[in-house]
Amino acid sequence: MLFSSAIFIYFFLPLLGVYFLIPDRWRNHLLLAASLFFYFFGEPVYTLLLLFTAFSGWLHSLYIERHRGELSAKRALISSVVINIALLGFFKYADFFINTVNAVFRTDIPLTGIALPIGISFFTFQTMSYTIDVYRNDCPAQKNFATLTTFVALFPQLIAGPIVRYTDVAAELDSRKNTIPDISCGISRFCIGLGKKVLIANVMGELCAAFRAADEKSVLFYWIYALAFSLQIYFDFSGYSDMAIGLGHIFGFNFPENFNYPFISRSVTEFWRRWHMTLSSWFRDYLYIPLGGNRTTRAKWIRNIVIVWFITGFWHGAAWNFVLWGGIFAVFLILEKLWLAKLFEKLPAGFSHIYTCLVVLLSFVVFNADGLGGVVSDFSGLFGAGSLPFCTGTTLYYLKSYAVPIIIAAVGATPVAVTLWHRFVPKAVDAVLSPVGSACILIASTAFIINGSFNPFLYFRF
Amino acid sequence: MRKFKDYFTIILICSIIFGLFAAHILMPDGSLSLSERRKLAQMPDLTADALLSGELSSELEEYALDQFPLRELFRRFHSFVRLDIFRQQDVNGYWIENGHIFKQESPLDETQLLYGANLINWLCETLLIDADVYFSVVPDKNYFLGNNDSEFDYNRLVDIMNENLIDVEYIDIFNTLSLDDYYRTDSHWSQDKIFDTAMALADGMGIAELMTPEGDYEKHELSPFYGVYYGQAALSSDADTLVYCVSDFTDATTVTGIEGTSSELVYPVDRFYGLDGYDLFLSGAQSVLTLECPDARSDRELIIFRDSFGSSIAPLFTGAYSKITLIDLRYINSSFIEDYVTFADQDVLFLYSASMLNSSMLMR
Repeated sequence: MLFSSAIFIYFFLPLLGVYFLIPDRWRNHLLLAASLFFYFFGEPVYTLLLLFTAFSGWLHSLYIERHRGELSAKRALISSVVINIALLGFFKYADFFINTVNAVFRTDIPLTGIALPIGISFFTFQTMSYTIDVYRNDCPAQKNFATLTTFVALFPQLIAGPIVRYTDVAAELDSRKNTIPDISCGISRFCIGLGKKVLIANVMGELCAAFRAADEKSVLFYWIYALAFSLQIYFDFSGYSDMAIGLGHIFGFNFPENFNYPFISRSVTEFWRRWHMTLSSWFRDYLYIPLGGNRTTRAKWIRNIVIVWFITGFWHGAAWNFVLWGGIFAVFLILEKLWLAKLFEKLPAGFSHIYTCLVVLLSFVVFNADGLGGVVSDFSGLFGAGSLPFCTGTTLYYLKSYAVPIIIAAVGATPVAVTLWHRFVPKAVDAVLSPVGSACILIASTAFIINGSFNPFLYFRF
Repeated sequence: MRKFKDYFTIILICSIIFGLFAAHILMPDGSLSLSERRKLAQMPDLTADALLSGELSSELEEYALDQFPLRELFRRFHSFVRLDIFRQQDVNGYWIENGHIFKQESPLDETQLLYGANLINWLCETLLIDADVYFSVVPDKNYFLGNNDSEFDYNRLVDIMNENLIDVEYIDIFNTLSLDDYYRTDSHWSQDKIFDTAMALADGMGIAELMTPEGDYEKHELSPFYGVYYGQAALSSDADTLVYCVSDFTDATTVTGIEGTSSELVYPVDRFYGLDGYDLFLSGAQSVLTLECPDARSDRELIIFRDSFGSSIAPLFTGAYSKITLIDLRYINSSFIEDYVTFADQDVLFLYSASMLNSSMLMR
């Protein structure tokens, strides 16, 4: 079930309104039932996989706690991590590896053809981080299976993040308050996220689809596409995160922020402190630092960065262009840490900002390419290889048609509008206009949802 | 103030969500979308197979969207946001220009055109050996926008067809038409504006002197007429008035179709109030239709291979031909036509719109 679907907004949520009518002690059970239904609605069979993952995490963490300090606790941790990685490896990467083996060794091993369970990258990572946290004694093991399953399956963050750690919500799972300011804030945040997804990301997605379908391409069209896709993926994913965080607020949870205006960054390093923050911090805490982080020799430090970014790229998708995408960031992060950061300090701020935007823009072309062949083809187009014209009538048509949405998206990707609003709009006016604005966004988004079926979330299959 | 804002937000948004939820539950489900001319999705059956395969979820989503309360209003609001706020050039491929609704054309498809030309050539070689065969193209109204950036080159289309058609005489009607000759909300031409076009075709076929002058027709108006583009685009546009032209010859003509679904009348007025008002002309889409006019000025016969444009122009030939047969190859396989039509030395006109020729593979 998509957050940006009529079924979710106008059936699932109203029915879940009963949450506020029942006693506190039943609320986790209702959330669990609703979350399992939410997942079952889209992935009936894989609901068992979700439950198995939660059960495995619950069992392993109880064992780890009982045998704390013993070798068997470490073995249990390894077992838990291996199970999660094996699930992820089998369901997400099996066919990729088979394809690679077939290509390299010219074998003909049949593909599994297994569909990727929605959200598997997220719920396996959350379960892994939980057992690791228990092992590290950062939190006690949850005795109640239903409570732990509520954490793993909690519908707002189940299928596309943010990657919520057990420690983030442990206290709220046991006891939480649903306050009017929280509910109001959650509703506004949900509406904003919905608008980002439906009114901007989907519209940018249409432009990208039109580019892919166009027979008549041009260099300018390639650059418009690169910009449109960068904006699409930002508004798509940050919109989803906003909706998840908003829903969390409504039901009394405080999920971590996932985006902080990444496009205003002045370095790739800063970009990754602002983009998909829960993933970056997950890899930092559970991979980079355990590998030794930067408190080691330079060679090992660089090795650690390469490993983390190879896996980050691979986490995003089972294809070589995702690995290349991660590799590009590894290279720029290493360059920045060794030389570029010092150089940028001496240059005007605008220069480093343009550099960052350019790297990010081009990286997303790699990200969205159809394999490595697609990367070569798209980059050839961007830099005018062959006899590609600079501009065509088709390009101008789409530029005219999408100029306003692109400008809205580009401005919306910065804190400019929010800053101006807070500075110049009196609180009394804000008290009326903000709710009305949320209502307008909800109605406009509903109109777009009713009109079209172009509604996929890009991060669903990660 | 903060408290007011919080309560106002909750009340306002919950009113919308719960209000539409309640309306969805309480309002009866519709069966047809008149504006889109299609059936609406109904509540799917709950079966174990559908549930476990995930089909049920997609069917429920489709049902929820199709039966959404105030659906038409939301569709119009969507178009408003696209055109007036986002300033986009089109909505779902439709846009308004010069007061007309236009639909974006597909790029010119030479494969389709060659298929169409080959089909016509095959018919000429097998069924129309003794006939005088003519061919004409109806320009879509986009032609009159004179958009040089368009991926659809009408002149190229005509050239390709003429280059590939054998022993077929082309009659150019482009110069007889203008944008004003088409409905604002529909793709078709308006019958009262195409006398010049009918005369150009008649001239090309050598029967100009047999045609009924425009002055001998009585024009009847029906309104409001909302054409096919109006509903599909969900754009705000004034309604059209549908005009049909009646003469002694059209009154004397009897219409018969092989499917038995056509009216015996040239202009069955009740069809105007159905799904598509344009069906007033010869009852709309039919595979084979015969118009017989005993009072015609000649005993010549005409066969028109046509699309929907033919429905409104064919009645204007009733005074000139005693029998007119309309064949729509989208609804009958060309191999079976001989079972219903006897071919001899009739005049034969292939009259197709440019967009139809560009989708020739719809013809069989």
